[in-house]
Amino acid sequence: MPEISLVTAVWTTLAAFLSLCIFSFLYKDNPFYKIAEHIVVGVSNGYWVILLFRDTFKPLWLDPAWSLVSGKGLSAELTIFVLVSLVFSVFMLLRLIGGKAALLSRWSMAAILGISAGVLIPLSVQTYMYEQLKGNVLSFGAFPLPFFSVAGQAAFNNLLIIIGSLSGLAYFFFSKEHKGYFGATAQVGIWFLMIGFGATFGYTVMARLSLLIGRIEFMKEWLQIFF
Amino acid sequence: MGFFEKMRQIDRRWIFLAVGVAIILPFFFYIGLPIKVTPEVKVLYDSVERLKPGDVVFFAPEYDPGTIPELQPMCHAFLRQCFSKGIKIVAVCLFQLGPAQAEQDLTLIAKEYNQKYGVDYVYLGYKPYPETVILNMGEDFRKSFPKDYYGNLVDTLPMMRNLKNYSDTKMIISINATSGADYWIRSAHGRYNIPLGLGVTAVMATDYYTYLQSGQLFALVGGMKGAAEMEQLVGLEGKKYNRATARMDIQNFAHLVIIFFVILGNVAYFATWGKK
Amino acid sequence: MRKEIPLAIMLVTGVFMAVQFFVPHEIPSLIYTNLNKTVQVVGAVALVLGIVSILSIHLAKIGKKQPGFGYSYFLIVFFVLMASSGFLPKSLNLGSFLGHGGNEEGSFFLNMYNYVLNPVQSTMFALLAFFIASAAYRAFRARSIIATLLLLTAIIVMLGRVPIGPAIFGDWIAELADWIMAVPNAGAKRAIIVGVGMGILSLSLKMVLGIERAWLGGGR
Repeated sequence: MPEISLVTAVWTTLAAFLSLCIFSFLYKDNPFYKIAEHIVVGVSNGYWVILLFRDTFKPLWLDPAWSLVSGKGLSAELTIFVLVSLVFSVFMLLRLIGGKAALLSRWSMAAILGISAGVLIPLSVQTYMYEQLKGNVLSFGAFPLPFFSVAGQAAFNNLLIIIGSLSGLAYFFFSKEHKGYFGATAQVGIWFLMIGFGATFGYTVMARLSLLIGRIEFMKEWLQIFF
Repeated sequence: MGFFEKMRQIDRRWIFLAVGVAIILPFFFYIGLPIKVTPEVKVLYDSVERLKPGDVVFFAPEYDPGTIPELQPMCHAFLRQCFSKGIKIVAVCLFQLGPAQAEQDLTLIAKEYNQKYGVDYVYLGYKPYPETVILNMGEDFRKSFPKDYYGNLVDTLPMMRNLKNYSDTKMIISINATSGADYWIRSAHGRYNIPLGLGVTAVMATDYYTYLQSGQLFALVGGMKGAAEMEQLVGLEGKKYNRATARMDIQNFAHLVIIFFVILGNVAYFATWGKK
Repeated sequence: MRKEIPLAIMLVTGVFMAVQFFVPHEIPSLIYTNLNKTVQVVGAVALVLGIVSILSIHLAKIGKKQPGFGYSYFLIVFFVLMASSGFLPKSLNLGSFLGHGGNEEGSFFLNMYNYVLNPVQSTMFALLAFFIASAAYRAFRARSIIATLLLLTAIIVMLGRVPIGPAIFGDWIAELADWIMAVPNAGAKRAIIVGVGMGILSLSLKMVLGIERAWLGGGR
């Protein structure tokens, strides 16, 4: 174990103490856990403030606004951007005042949501529908394929993926009653979905255990400072 | 009350204790079972191996302290592979809890390979609303990042002089702990068609196999197992370079304990079924 | 006009951003880039509202001495400490234990991030391992064929994805886990993703066209 300075040892002990406060919740809820929880909420909010001002507001608006005011970077594009951002930002902050003035914050919300929703319209069609269904169609496009392989391209695998995706979609189509052939297709879809959820559960267990292993490793490294 | 009825109503704290012991015990003995590398991780390693010194990779390490055990080893392994080959990195972190962590990871690995900031790697930092940032960077990095994380004007950094947007890089690799992974698929690959590889937590990994199959991703590294595979492929000796590999040993025993509990719970359930 | 102007802004910006995706011309691209930057700036300001909200809730709790108000002191104090630490100049030295100003290695800001925020967040996530074990024991039952299918798949993946599975059972379990992930899982998740995509598209269209108005809030 490399030499650790006293300062690092003290900070690491603080970190270990706060970790143990959180672990104490496993026995039962207690004041130590609540204190650690409130501390982290305060610290993360403080961290956000720094991030938003230093990394976003200052470089994107404050510095360009200053260059505009000081006459260094005059351009129509910059002027419009600074003014529009200023107006919408002020309208957003009017929400804090409340009353009739707060209704102007709806204009800012409309701009943000409109821009975000507008961007999503073509992107969701492209990413979630077109590319995904193209993945099904091209499955049969590359010949010759082996009949079966563990993970690579294979005719049987591709057929299963097509059946799985279409029957899964049939299951989620609730506008038609799940009876007859359609019902049988939806039932096949449930089987595929259950396999998917089982795989997700298995991976979730792996993920959660990984995080716990990481913390126990940290506690071991802390104890090695003293022993 | 019979044995199985008692088992069904056991206080959950005994289960917590059993899990705790299952995790702590393996720290005292190391087995070192071999780890099988999966194709979806190998393709990432091979793609980086095919790059030439001076090629630029766009890298987005976007994870918070909570997911360090899974994602930090894959981040480190990837950076080691790139820096050892002289590949340059432009990095960004669009997850609000990750910028300081990303900066520390980059600096740590860059120091190992004597990489110079501004020449061999650049860290642009963080901006909110990741989707809009990703879209803007596809036009010009400077639109969202006129300055880097340290406050330097991007144009003053030697490496950035010939870099305008994603098309000047060979690929985008995002190590992501959030739904931000979807933004990279949707906005970076979907709009700009740049090769995209993802490293994600195990919880998220199952959802991204379908993107791998459709070709929207060319590589997928999932969870601590994926990180261990990356470490195996990079092939450095020593515990410092193989943290995920060492942790997989502990994971073995923990998985067996969880499976034991699942089976025990079902045995207790069926043994007491109909006895109410 | 209270609703009409915001709805008009939503329509104009939404339609522009959707159509711009297909227009390679320079001027729409310029407007598009600047609109994205505006979202980031206004978004940063909007997030301040959240911070003000949480502080006012806890200050009110302290003022009215509501149950648990003592914990709110910790929140406020640590918020002020962290928020102010990021604005301290690099040259300011707070002592060898606390660190210096700025946000580099050894600074108070980074010490708080590494030794307070980092470990507590990580430990909170680590608790989930215990709860998932407890939930798996109590609730994961093979009550029906499809539940049994889910259970078996989970066990195969849990064994196949760690080295001990192949060591005990042979390589076939790892290959089966790989196949499950790449084939039936991919098919199932594709169905979910296409459904999600349709949901996102319909909600976005409804918002842009003014059919979905919940974001306007209550009132006239």
